[in-house]
Amino acid sequence: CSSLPNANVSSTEQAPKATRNYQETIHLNGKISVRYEHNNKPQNLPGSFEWEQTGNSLQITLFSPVGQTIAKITQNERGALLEQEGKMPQQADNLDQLLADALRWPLPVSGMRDWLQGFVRQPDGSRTALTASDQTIISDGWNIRYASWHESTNSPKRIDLNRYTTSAGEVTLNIFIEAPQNP
Amino acid sequence: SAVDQFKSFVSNTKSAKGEFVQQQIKMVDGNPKVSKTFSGAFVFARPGKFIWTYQKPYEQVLQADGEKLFIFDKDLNQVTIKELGNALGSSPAAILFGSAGAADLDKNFVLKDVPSKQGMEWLEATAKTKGSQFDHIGIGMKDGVPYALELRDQFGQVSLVTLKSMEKNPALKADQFKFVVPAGADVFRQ
Repeated sequence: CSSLPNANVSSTEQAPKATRNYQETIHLNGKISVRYEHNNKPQNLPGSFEWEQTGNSLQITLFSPVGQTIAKITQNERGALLEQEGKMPQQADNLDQLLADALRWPLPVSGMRDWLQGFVRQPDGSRTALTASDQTIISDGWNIRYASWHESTNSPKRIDLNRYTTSAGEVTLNIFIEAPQNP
Repeated sequence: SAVDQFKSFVSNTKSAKGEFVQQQIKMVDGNPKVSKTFSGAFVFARPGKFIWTYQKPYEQVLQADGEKLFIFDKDLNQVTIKELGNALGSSPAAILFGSAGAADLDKNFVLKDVPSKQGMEWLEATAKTKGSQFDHIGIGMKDGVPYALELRDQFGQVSLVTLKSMEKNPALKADQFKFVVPAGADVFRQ
């Protein structure tokens, strides 16, 4: 279903909404807090992330609250590589599966390529831009709440993803994205 | 030597406050490049009580009240509460301020003098317990006070923390280290 035209454009919206085009190449910074269960004990990992996407290749770096690198995820035409502090690097073809096994919690990278920019993939593979409003969608088994947006760039600011998985129990990813420099 | 200076700092400086600048340095094509710069303030009281506040570019607080470690992230408006125990070895504040005294320091770290540089005498601290996520911790001493901290993680990224305008044994409020959950913040106990 295509997104409904924004009928209730309130008069206060002076500046026309920046139209949002999907960026194949984009650099995003922000915070991510991961909650999941391990040995049915709740785990909570606060931290920050860097998302460097250049066409099909992608590098995601996860940092601890004091700025120390926790994990580096690289994806390109040769496949996916996960480097974690204190562990041997691991390679795989399917990145999402590699992450779910190695990190003990699922990081839906392929979906996030669209969700972090406020898009959602349609069954036919096309991308639809979400309207910049507080809404919850379901995609790839994830409940995704777009809680707030950056006015200046009409791009997502706070996204909360949540789902249940057998291996990690109730999983919640709270993501705060800084406004991209060159929207 | 730097090790002696650091040991006497740990034994004699029971509390202090000051400011810090933290630079994240990555090697890009062979030369160091500052990828991010943070700044903020700290206050500590031995043993195990400190507040390490990142003010720029975003607000984040790491606070230890002697028992628990509180991590508050303002952007996410979330507080994570952990046991102080093993979380101790992983932050600059814990390394500088966590130990009760020289004996406690020796229990947690192996200390070794290394060549001086940047006008400071340096020592290297290696955590005895496997959990410390930094594989290299350098501490630069100047006039008996830690002035710089060099933390290298296993990806070769270096965090260079510089402490400034440190005031020893400042007046501290009775509940200085009691953590108050900001209004509306989500709280997660681990």
